[in-house]
Amino acid sequence: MSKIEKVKVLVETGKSTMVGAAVQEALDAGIQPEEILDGMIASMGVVGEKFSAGKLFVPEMLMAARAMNEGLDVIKPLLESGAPTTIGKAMVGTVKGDLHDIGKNLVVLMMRSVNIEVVDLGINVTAEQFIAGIKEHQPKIVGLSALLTTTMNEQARIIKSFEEAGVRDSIKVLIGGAPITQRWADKIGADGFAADAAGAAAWSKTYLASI
Amino acid sequence: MKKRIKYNVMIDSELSFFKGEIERLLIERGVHLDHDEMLKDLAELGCKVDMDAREVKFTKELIDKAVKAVPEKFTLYSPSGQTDLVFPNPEGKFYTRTNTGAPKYLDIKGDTHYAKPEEVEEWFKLTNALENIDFVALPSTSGEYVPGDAVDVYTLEKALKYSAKHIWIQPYESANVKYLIDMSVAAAGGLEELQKKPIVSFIACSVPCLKFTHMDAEIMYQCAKAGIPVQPCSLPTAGANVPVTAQGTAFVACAEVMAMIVMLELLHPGLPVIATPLLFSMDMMTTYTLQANTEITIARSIAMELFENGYNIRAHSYGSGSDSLTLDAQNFIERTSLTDSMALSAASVLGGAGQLETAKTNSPIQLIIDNEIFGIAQRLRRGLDIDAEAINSEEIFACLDQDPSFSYLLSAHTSRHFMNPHRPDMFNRDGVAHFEADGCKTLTDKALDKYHEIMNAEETYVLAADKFAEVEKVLKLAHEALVK
Repeated sequence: MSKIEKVKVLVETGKSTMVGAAVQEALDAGIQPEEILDGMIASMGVVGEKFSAGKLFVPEMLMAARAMNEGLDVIKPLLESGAPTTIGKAMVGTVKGDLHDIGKNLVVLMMRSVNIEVVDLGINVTAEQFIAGIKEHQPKIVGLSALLTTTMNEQARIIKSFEEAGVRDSIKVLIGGAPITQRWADKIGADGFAADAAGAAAWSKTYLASI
Repeated sequence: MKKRIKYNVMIDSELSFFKGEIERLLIERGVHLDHDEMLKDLAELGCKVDMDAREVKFTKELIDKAVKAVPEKFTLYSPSGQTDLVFPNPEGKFYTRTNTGAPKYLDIKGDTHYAKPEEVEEWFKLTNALENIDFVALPSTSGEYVPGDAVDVYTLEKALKYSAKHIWIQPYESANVKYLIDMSVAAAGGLEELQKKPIVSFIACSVPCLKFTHMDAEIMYQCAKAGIPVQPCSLPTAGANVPVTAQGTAFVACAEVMAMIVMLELLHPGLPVIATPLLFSMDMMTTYTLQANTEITIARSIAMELFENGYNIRAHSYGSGSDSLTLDAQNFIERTSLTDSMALSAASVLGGAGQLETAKTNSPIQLIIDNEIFGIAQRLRRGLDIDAEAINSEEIFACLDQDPSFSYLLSAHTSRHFMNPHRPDMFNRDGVAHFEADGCKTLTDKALDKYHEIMNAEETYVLAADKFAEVEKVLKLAHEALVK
C-alpha cells in the first residue's frame, strides 16, 4: 500500500489517532501536501457516497471527518498561503425564540464533514445577530433552524430583515426544522429547504461547488 | 389474582443503584435554572444556589423532604365534572391522554397540513366522545391561522370552550404563562375554585442535560405559586443530547424530572405532580428523531418503575404513537407494541393518542383507533382471576357435559360470564358472508364511520357562557400584550 493510500484508508475508516503520523510519513517521503489534501478529500467523497447509500452510520462519517481534520492540521502550515482547505463557508443558527439545537448541531457537524467551514451562531439568534454575522464572516450560505410552529415565523422575519439590511443578495438562505416544509420555504422566499442534516450538507456542497 | 399484570425491568439492586445515581447527580452536579426569582426562593429554602452561574444543587435532606411532600392521592378534575381522574386509579387502570404540540393534521381526506382552528375544535369533540381517552393536550394550531406569538393562548381558548375532559397545557413563551393560568382561572370560576378542583395541569420541560429555560422555570414558578398541578417533562434524544444508550437516556430524563419535582415541592409542598419522562432516540443512520425505538420503550418502563416503585410518585410516558407518517402496518405494529408494553409497566398515564410522525402529526382516525387499542390494553392490564368460579369447577366436576342435552351456550356459568370477554367496537368478529355484505370494511373504514357518528352528534360539551365570556376577556388582554 502506498503512503498516500494508507492516509486515505485511515481517513475512510476514521482512525483519527493514526492519520497525523501517516500524513507526516507521506510528507517525509516527498509527497506534496496538495496531493495529500486531494487524497483526503477523495476519501471523504467515498465516505459521503457510502453514507448517502445507507451503508454508513453518522458516527462513522463524523469519525472520518475528524480523521481528515487531524490530517489537515499537519499539512495546513505547508499549503500555499491563503490556499483554501474548505470548499466554502456557511453560517448557521437557531432563530430567535427557539432554544432547540439538536438539528442545528447536526447540520454543523455534517457540513464540516463535507469540508464546509461553518460559523455556528448558536440558539435564540436575532435577525440583527445574523446580519452582523453575515457582514463579519461573509458566508455564502446562511442556515436558519426552527423547531416550533411559533418560531418558524421568525424565519420569514429574518429573511425580510436581510432584504432591508441589503445583505440578501450576497447569500443563499437554507431553512430547516421539524415543522418546516418545502411549501413553507417557497412561501417565505428561502433559497432551499433541507429535511435533515445530511440534506443540508448535500445541498450546501452542491451549491458551493456551483459557484 | 395479582391486582393487575405488571412487569419490572429492573431488579431491586438496579432500582436502588438508579435512585442513588439520580440523587447523587442532583446533589453533586445540580441543574442550571434560568430564573433569578426562583433561584432566590430556592436558596432561601436551603438549596445551594450560585446566582452568577444560575446553578442550583440539592441536598439529600431536601430531596427526601420534597419526595415526602408529594401527595400520594389527588384528583385532576374535568371541566364537565363527568371524567375526573383520581390518582392512583382505584381500579388499577392507567389513564390516557392525547398527543401534545403536533403542528400538523392528517384529515379524513388524507391531506396533511398545518392544523386549522376548526380542526382543533373537531379534536375536542372527538376526545369528549371517546371513552378510553381520559384527558387532552393542546394541538399546535398553525401561526397561519392564529397569531404566532400566542398559539398556545388561542388554542387553550378552544380547549376551555369545548373540552369536557381535563386539559394539559403546554406554553410556548414565558410571557404567555400568566395568561394561560388566568384563562384557566376564568374557566374554573376563580382561583380558589381552580385550586380546589384543578381542571388544567401544566407541562414544564427540561432542556437536556439538566437545564431549565426561563419559560419552563416560569411555568413551574407560576404553577407552584397558584397551586396548579404540574406534569414535569423531560424530552431527551438518545445520542443527540444525552447518552446514546437507552439506560443513559432514562437516567438523564429521570434526573431532570426529579429535579423539577423537588423544586416544585419545595416551593409548594403537597402540589400534585406526575413525573413525565418522554424519551426519544436519534437514528444513527438518518439522524431522525424516533419515538418508537424498542430500547427506548424499555427505557420508558424503567423510568416508570423509578418513580412509581422507587418513590411512589405517579408516572406518565408515551403509551401510543409511531414514527410512521401514515396509518400503515409499521404504524400499527409500533403503537400497539408500545401501548401493550406501557400498559403492563408501572405507568399511571399513557400519552400520545392520535399521533403519527413522531408526534408531529395528529390524526382523528388514528385517535379513534387508539381509543380501541387502549380498551384492549386496559383489559390486558387487569389480568384474570383463578378461582373455582372462574374455572367453572361446579359444572365440570358435576359432569354436566356428559349429558347430551347440555350445552355450554346455555349453562348457568355461561349466563354469568358471557359478557366478560373484551369486545373491541370496530374489529371484525364475523365471517366472510357478513364481511362482504357490510361492504368489506376495514378498521380504518369503521373508524371513519365512527368519526362521522361523533361529529354528527348534536350533543356536545360547551363551557358555560358566563365563564367563557371571562375567558374571552383574558384572551383579549393576552392578545394586546403578546402579539407584536
